[in-house]
Amino acid sequence: MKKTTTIIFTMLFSLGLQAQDRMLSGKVTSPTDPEGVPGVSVVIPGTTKGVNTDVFGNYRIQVSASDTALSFSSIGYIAKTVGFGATDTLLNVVLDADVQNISEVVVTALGIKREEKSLGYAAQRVTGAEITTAKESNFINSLQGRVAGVTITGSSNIGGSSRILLRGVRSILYENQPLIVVDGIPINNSNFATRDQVRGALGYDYGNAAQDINPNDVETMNILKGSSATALYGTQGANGAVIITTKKGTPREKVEGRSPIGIYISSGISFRQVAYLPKYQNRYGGGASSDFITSNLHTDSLRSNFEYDGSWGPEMLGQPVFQWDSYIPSMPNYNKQYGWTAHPDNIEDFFETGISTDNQIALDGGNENTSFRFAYTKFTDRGTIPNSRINRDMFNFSITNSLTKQLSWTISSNYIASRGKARPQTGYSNLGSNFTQWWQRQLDMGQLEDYKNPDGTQRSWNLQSETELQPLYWDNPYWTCYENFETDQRDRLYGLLNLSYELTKGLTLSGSVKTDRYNEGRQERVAVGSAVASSISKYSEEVIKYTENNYELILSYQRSLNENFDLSALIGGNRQDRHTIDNFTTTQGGLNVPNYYNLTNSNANLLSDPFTEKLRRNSLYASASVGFRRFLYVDVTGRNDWSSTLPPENNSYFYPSITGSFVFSELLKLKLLSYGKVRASWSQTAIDPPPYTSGSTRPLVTDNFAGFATAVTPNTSNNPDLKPEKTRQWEIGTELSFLGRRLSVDFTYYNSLSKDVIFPVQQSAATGFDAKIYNAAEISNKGIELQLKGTPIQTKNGFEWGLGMNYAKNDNLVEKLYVDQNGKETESLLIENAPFSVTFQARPGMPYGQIVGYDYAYDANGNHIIDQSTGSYATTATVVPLGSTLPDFTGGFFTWLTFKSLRLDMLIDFQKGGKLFSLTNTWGKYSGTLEETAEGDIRENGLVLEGVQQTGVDENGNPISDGTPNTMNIAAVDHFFLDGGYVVSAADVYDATYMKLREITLTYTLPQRWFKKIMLQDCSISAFGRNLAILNKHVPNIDPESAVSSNNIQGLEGGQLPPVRTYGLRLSFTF
Amino acid sequence: MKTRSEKNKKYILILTFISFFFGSSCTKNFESINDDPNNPEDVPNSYFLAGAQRGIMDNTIDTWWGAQVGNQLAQYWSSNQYTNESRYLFRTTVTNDYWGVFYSGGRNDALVNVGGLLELKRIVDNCTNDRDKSSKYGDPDNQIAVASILRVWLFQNMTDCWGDIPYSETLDPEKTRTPKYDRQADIYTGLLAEINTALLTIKASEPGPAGDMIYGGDMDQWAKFANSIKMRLAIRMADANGAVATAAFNEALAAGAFTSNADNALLPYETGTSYNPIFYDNSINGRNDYAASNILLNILVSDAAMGHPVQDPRLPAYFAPTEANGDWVGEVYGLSDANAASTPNENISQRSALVLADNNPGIYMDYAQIKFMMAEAIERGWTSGDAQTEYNEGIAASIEFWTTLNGTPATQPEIDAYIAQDSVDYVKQKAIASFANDQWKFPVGKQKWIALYNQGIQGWCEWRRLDFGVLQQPADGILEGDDIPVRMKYGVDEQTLNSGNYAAAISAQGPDLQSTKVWWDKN
Repeated sequence: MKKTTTIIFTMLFSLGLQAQDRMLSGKVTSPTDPEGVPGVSVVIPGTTKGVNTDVFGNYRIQVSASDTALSFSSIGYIAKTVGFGATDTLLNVVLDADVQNISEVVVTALGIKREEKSLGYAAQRVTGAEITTAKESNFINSLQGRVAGVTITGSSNIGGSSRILLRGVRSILYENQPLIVVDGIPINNSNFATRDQVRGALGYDYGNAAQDINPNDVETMNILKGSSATALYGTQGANGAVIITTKKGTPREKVEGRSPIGIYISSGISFRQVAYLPKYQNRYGGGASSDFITSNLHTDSLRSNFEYDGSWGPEMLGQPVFQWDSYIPSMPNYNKQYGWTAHPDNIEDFFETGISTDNQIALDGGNENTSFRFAYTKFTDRGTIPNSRINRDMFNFSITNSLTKQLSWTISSNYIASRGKARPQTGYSNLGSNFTQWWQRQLDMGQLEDYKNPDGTQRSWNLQSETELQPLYWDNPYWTCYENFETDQRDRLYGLLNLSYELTKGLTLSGSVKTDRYNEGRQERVAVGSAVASSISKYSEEVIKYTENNYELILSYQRSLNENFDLSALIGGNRQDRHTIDNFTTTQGGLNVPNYYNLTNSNANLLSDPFTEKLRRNSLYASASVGFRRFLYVDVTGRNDWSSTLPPENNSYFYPSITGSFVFSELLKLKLLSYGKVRASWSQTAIDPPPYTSGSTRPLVTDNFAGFATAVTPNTSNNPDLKPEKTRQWEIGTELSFLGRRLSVDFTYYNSLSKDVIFPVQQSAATGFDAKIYNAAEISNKGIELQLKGTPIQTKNGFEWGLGMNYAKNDNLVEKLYVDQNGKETESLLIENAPFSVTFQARPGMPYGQIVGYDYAYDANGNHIIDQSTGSYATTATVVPLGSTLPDFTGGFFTWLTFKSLRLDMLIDFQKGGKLFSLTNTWGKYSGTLEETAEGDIRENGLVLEGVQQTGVDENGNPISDGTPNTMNIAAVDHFFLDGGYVVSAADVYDATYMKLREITLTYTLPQRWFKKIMLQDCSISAFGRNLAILNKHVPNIDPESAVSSNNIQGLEGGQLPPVRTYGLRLSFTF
Repeated sequence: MKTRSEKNKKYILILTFISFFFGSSCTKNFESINDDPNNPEDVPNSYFLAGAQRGIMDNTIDTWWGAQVGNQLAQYWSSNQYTNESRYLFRTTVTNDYWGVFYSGGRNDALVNVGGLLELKRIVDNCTNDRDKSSKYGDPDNQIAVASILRVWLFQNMTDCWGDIPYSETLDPEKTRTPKYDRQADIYTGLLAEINTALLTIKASEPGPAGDMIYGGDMDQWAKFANSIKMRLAIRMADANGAVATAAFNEALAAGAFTSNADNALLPYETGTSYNPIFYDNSINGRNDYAASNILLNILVSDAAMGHPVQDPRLPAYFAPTEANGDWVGEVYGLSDANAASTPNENISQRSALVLADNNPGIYMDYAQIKFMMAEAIERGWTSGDAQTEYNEGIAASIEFWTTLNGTPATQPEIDAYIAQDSVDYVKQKAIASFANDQWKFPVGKQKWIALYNQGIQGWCEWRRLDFGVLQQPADGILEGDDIPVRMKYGVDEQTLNSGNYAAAISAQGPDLQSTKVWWDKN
């Protein structure tokens, strides 16, 4: 049988060849690169005849009858000579990695596989194994600390948003996050967050869309940090790229006692607990003053001030008093006075232990012509907030098949069904805000748990009055979770179909159709009887449909020109079509029927806000890469995009890049230096503005009002002369390995300047428009990235200790904002208002993301000036910048210990600098819930602030002092009202520095001999913990990693939910 | 085996195909793809008119400007939470935002970003540039007139708050991005000219504008409204430019201002979704940050000791009795946060159900003001008549308006009894006034202030102009400045975005403080 096949095979593929010559072909693979090793030199020993393998590791070579062997060599692999028979036409070879001189193959822009040594720019790899054990539901979070120059701001809320930044911020308004590509398919990472949610006001965090990517399916991630690396991606690659390669099927050799199809089973469970709560005071209960209130219903008796949502009330001494539930007939304390006592754990008691599970089964296999992989993952997540959960079903299927030696096709598809319920709201007025910012410390969570009266009405501690039992400002937190919850669904399909045809040796034509599409539904409810709407209940639905299709055609060429030169080149084109529909509809005027959540249940007309957006980008690109003697490489790329979003005369723009790499260790054979390379690159990239911004300034039709159609002119005028934002970047770097790769260093310096950055230039509102959009700003980013990795101990008995570090420092500067015709530069650009006190701005000469507000007033000696009318801190007359939210530097330390089958990994990551504004601290002080509001006996005695007396103001209105020390006493309550961030913004602007014990993983791989008989190949068990401890931080009461959105607006903490700590176990089996 | 040239042909074909597919058709269909489907190129003028009428009123009376600025400055309402504004420390964000709101509609978190001025300008531009197209929505001249009248109304409100403001160079960003500040005297001259032009432009025989929520396109009513505004412009500048004021007032009087409450310029709000913004704040947003101010409430309740045995019939229309026991108890004006919070809401009179109702109309201008202006004009000798009669009719008009709105119209005997008592009686009140020559200012000012309830900025203007006292320092002390403000500070954005003109305005008008008087405020 085998013989027959071979004969047919030979007949099929030797047509037209002379009898004595024949074609010999095959695939070169390696254990680390089972998909194929490109660029392997294949020569007939003793001759100069040779070829290189293509990007997929395939080669074809014409051999004569006298040839008996082929030599295979490639840097990073141990060279091998393999013999073949006289009639053989197929010769597959497995090369072993040369640990002394390894060069990894990485996937670069457009899926081009390259040897790492040939790259003229920084790229850093993360393997799937690194991120799947202690799995994060949002895979972006798992990059934290692992990659130099990647800044992650992640949320610990269930299903929450994470943001990824490479080398800082380039655009003021538009996307700064890198392109995420999975197997060549651009993945949408939109958030569709409301403006309020982003700025730290109330809203649900639905997360960033790229969290649909399943870490279990990830083989490797390659982080292309600079735009030189991604210039071939055009607009989308302007911020770098995360290139994800998923696991593929591998051909399995037939081995006795081994399953013909690989089966991989992985099962993980983890538990999440609230890790960190603000420090509360437990001495004074709710109320506005130290006296109880005289009850109206129980004359001559006292009651608590349950209307006031703060804790400046009477000291908790167990004294009997009528409290909120004393007025609710169905409650046990009805008409009873009971003890006014502290419940120090009332907040902690509310949170539950979250449990998440993920189980995956994957099947893979194949033969020399076909390989496939199928995987199904079930992920469930129950949050720490009651009633919250997310479930995801994830399917991954890929198949590659060679129809003929020339023609092959690939289908890769992923389907993800995600279902969420009762995600917590973030920002101001959410539960986190309620518990710290507006709470009564004596409240007993146990009494609130039964949140409904028998008639279905709410039991809130914050009653309107003794007789009006509806909630005043705050719902019972359990009511919020169980009655006013959201639900959401996202069904997503992404995949590609690729056809590849080898026209001739080294020349391949490849066409792909790629799609990423999802339908998402979001439903939000406000139940009848809720406080936020004492009469207006609500139900809203948002339907988001997103589709992006890419049609790509690439002609690529790869061959050795002669002994010295290798050439690879490609020319291609792409059409991208993107279509977004976001339709929001809400009931108005309340719901007619309680607990019936349907748009037909609207009391008044439905309000809808439909939104449609389309864009098309057409592109042509080419690249050429020349390698000289496998140590000197030069790449040139060029791409031109045509974007529909720009005015016709400005809609074409070009992205050139040139990169070079010099592996000097190939020339200098130094004993200590095992590998040495220098690299340099230059590129220019551009970002087009979103659709419709360059058109005419159109009126908006607003809602129908009292039977009249209404319209409004926008506040910002468009600019029909808009151009794309352009960034020029250059970088240099080096990679060095010493002592047989026991110690390695990777260092990069980069420098980029973005010009024509688009922003709405504010102008005097008296012009009728607050702003007009211009290409005006310039932003620069300069920085270094450093990776160090070493293995100090490596013993023969299998003990290894390794450690390493990632470090990146980025200096961002808004070089210039708009300069008007009189040469006057825009002094500030308001990007967003926080819910209170501060704004988020760009200012020229300062890093992006300035928090701007009122600062303390100081005298020349740095003393606080004290306002002598109140005894509180005096403030600056005008708002001033209080620091950028961007960190000074970020990084991580990692270390591992292995001993035989046991492996221990630990990851610590850190951020130095960057500011945040904390509303939790602002209102927590204002409302008297935080510990510092009850320190000592300040509530009884007041306090005298350290500082000097204000004697007047200078010509700018700023307070001045003659230096006389302040002696004025201020009541504690007045101090916290007047000296908190609400008035003195600087009081609650904090340094966001942190160092966290991010992850510890212990893995034990069971010895193979234990289960030889049951076809089991591999079995391992891991225990892990994530977000275990905050080792260092400067902001009190909250976790400085306070992101709640993946938007450009960061650092505005509106009401943090307590961060969580995760512990878990994972089991995996491979058959 | 294929020949080399055959192969080359194949590549050429492929390359041609690639460049054809991606190159030549590169930008075809781009314009249709980038044609915004979400917003139209233009809309009927009527949309702008309705939008502006609603937007201007919403911005004037909503919780931030109407409640926290206007009704605090006039001391109609007391804050019971976040009381800084009651103590005249206004949030910079609010004062800054509303500067932008009135000029451009620009407020980030606005529910509806209608400023009004730009929408009115679009109407004028459309009617001027394309009369034929615009005539579909009423006579173009009438549309221009109505747009101008509303514009004058809004600009007067603005200059009365800030004094010198950008006026002559506004709303034309192509001409200047930094409009100069005009002197208030010049703005008043300009506004009088604009209202005169509007009055001349009105063609009563031609159709009025579509989209008119105030008068349904009745141009006779618009003429009356324009004359009423003209009267108000004149009377406000009485102390600053008496000659011009007298002439303008008498012109308006002769031409015909409001003659009854039926003429009132009201913006209808409705039950459902077209609600009053205060209803939104209170009932939808769940905020209850204001209660009855003791300053006003104490004047309305019956108090024999004060010579005031008859309760003001407007009291239940203005405020609600306490929930606890039905008493009338005002929240002490200007309490600290802590002191305000120590008093349960149920023990304090809240705002009336009418004021909090979804369908409480927005008042552009009401008839009672005309009567009080008449009384003043007679006392000033601008015109003849009996000041006391006008004063009494003003009170009666206000009572009739508010009690009718509240569903239980006061009877004539009730009104008469109220007016007859010592604390209201014109002659007796004049007699107790401490003004040397202008004793009329006390009764006219006080009763006009009562009548201007819920039109906070107007009530505050009359207090500044007529200096009738009544208002008091905040109980727990003032937080900014030394006295009740007589001016609002400019939006802080102007300091950076229009700094040269801002500086010029300060040097012309005086420091940018709440204590700097505006031009017409002479005492």
